[in-house]
Amino acid sequence: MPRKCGGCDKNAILKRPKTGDALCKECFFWAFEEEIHHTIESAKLFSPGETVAIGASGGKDSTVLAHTMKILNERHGYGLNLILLSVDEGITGYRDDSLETVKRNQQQYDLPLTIVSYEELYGWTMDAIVKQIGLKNNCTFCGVFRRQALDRGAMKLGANKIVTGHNADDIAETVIMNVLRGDIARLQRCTAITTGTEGYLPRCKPFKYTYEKEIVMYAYFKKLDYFSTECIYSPNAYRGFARAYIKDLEKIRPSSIIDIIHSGESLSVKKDVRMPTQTVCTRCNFISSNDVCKACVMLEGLNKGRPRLGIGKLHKERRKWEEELEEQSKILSNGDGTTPLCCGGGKCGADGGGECGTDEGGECGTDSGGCKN
Amino acid sequence: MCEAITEDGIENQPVKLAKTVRETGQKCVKCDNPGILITRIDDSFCKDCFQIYVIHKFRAAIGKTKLIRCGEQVIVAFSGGANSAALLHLIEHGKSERAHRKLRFVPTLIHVDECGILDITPDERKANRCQVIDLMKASGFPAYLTCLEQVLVMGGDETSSSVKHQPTDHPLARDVTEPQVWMVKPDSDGTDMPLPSTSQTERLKTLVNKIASLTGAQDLVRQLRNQLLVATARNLCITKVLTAESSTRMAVEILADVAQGRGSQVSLNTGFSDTRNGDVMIIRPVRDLNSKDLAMFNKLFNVKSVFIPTKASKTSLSSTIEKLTETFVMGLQADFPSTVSNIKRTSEKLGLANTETCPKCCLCMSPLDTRTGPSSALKAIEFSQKMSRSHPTEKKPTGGGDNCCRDKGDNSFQNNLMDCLCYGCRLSLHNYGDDLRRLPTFVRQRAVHMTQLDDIKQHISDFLLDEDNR
Amino acid sequence: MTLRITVEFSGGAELLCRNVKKHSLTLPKKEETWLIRNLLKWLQENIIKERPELFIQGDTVRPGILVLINDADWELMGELDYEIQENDRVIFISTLHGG
Repeated sequence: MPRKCGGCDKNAILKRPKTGDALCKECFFWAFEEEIHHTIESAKLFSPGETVAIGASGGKDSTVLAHTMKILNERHGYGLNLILLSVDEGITGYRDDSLETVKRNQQQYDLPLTIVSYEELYGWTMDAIVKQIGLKNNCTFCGVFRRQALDRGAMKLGANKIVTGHNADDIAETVIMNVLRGDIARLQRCTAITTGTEGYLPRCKPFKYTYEKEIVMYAYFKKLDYFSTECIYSPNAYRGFARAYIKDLEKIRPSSIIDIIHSGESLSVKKDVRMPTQTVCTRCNFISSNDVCKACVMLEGLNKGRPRLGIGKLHKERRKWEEELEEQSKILSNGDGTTPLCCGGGKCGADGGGECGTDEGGECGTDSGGCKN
Repeated sequence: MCEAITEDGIENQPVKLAKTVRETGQKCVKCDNPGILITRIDDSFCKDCFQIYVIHKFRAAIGKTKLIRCGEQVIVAFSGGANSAALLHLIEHGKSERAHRKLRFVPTLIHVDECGILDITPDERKANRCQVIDLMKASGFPAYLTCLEQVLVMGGDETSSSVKHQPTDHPLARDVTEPQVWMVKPDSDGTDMPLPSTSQTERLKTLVNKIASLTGAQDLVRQLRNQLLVATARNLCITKVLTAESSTRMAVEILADVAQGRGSQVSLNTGFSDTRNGDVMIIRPVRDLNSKDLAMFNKLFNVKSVFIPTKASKTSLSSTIEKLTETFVMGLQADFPSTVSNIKRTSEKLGLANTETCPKCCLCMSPLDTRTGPSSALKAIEFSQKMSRSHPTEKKPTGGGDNCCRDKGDNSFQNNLMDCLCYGCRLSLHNYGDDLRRLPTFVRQRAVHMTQLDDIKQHISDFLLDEDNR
Repeated sequence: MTLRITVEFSGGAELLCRNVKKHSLTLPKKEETWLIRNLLKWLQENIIKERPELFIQGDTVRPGILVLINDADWELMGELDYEIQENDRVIFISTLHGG
């Protein structure tokens, strides 16, 4: 006998991974949307009149996010000005195709779209970067650059906030990753629903409690138009282990994903643990844990044909470069200015790889890039 | 999926072990004798230097923390397994004439017989016991035996039991006694120790088997065992209990705790000392040694141990969250040798929030982590359940926020009890339903007490000055 | 020539071979030398009676099971490529919880 929907008398079509309840299509849509509304309301994510940039990659998460934000904004009278914001990393055969999807979404949802590209911001496409540095560590560049790019794009549009499509699975995975790495600072902040309030644009995750499986089901039943190819550049094996572990856990106990988020929310750090101190990048004025932020270091490395500067341990290369910088700053103070990196005006969100506490679920892939997958 | 970006780029990315087989015939790193084992990441040790290393790690942990006073009585929780056998041997060595500096505490051994939950015959159970008793006797220390069935009769602890002082005809006070222990006599071979009554064993089995998932069942057994150990120590007027978790075990437990919603308890469950039970402290003196160190130590120095299966023995690699996690951690450790120490490093930095004021879980005694704000995983789940189980006549926009109501009424006993449990214990017991009434008396006593306190507090709330505003 | 060796299982690994800890084995004649690698496969086919995945993973032992060859850590003996000698004693100790 078919199972009945828990919300009405129709036959159920799906079993919810989060609670095990059975629902029909209509009740599922309703519950899915209202739960996101509940998340938004209970965390007081937005205020009326705000402009909110939706990080849009064309992937399932950000497509469903754009769709849901639009519906909820109308249904509940949030009074938000929604815009789509995409980052073009310059990856042929991947991003160009997914951007086509975003452009269709723009039509479908009738939302304005802005695309910022690595090429215009940094003078480098990912294709060009990979050509220079190969397939190792390229995601490091991409991740660092993307979070800056999204900030810059959003600021250009006058947005007050950025929302990203990070879902419950992404967050659970990040909690596990941070436990595995012993990275206490990130472990503490990775379950925050809004990050990066100091110094630059707050980022919110309305899907924080939404299961990836439900997002896929929603997109499937709503027949939403999304792009589902993985980035052509190599995946990170280590993150893959964490992801596989989460998936196995989910098989044993479906609530595991949200249980892990509860764990992340409720753990507390000893008072005497020293947290990394934050300072301001001397190059671009953005928050950084070093004198020069990661993005500036990486860009400098690329431009000087020494791409390994930004990655790996503080090896000789970095020390040598710091000496050079000192020389340079002497020249600078003599009035012999050299071209500053990035925008130089404090607008570029180039934090050193997200140490400013803003890195989200997928650290790389923090957003519109959708490469958290 | 992309490369993780961390504080300093990818520096925090664990380093993969280059899989080269070591050259044979390596020398000990301490002296020039041929090495016979590899410990930690790449150090080769000979037998003698390895012994010094293990003893040092144990003594340093005890010495550094200065938690155990000179001449103090301590309980050593002895399962008979490899880790506790190694711990017992280290203590024996420390008390012997051979020790460089003698250990000053006075050990008493306790074995908790958990075989009641297994499907084995009384004879097999006795045989298991006898093996453990032999090992305990061989140490010459005073030794006791108790069994997990005792959790059914023990009462809530002194500090939180108001019910205890009520007339004995109170339903919760009637069948309460102190948990019993049986002393192991020097001439005993174990066969003279009484087995619990069949009906008690059946009750325990039902209690555990009511939980549909093996993960939950294992978790419940763990909590019950800890509470029994603490209550037993209290009865013997001893305030320290030593347990023998290795660093490997800790790492698995940390991750498994996080996966089971027990993130807030990681520092209690895996720290050097666990103070959640008030007067009785749990201490983990071998947590700086890994499971290989301890197993090798046992092998090289002929330390005997007993293998007693658990409910999860011979089940698949993913039969429980714990087993899956162990497989995951051991697999990672093989490729990334810093895995266990990284995980442990995480836990060293974790602490407890507001331990003093927070009410405690009636089962595991950790601070309740369920009184969360409106924007939390717990409230999100409650909202989800409400959304999927209500029959709305029409779909109208919900208010959002913290208006999740819980239907009281018939289910109030269950709800009350669930309210007195932490997130992790709720998870284990979530499909218990009516059977929550079967939970051991001590849990129900604590719940009654907590509810009473809450009621009183509510009654007088108008007259209380807000602690937060003081 | 056949090879006589002793193989022992402990720490719970013995559960997988009908709870027998000590096995005196005669390995059959083989053209090449017997390596630990070959022994593992042979054990899996002849001795391990239940749930071989709890003992072997891929071509090596499941992580968390220690291997000792004549009372020394196999990591110092060449691991899978150790050449087994007559009268060798190979010990498998599970350090995994519950076996």
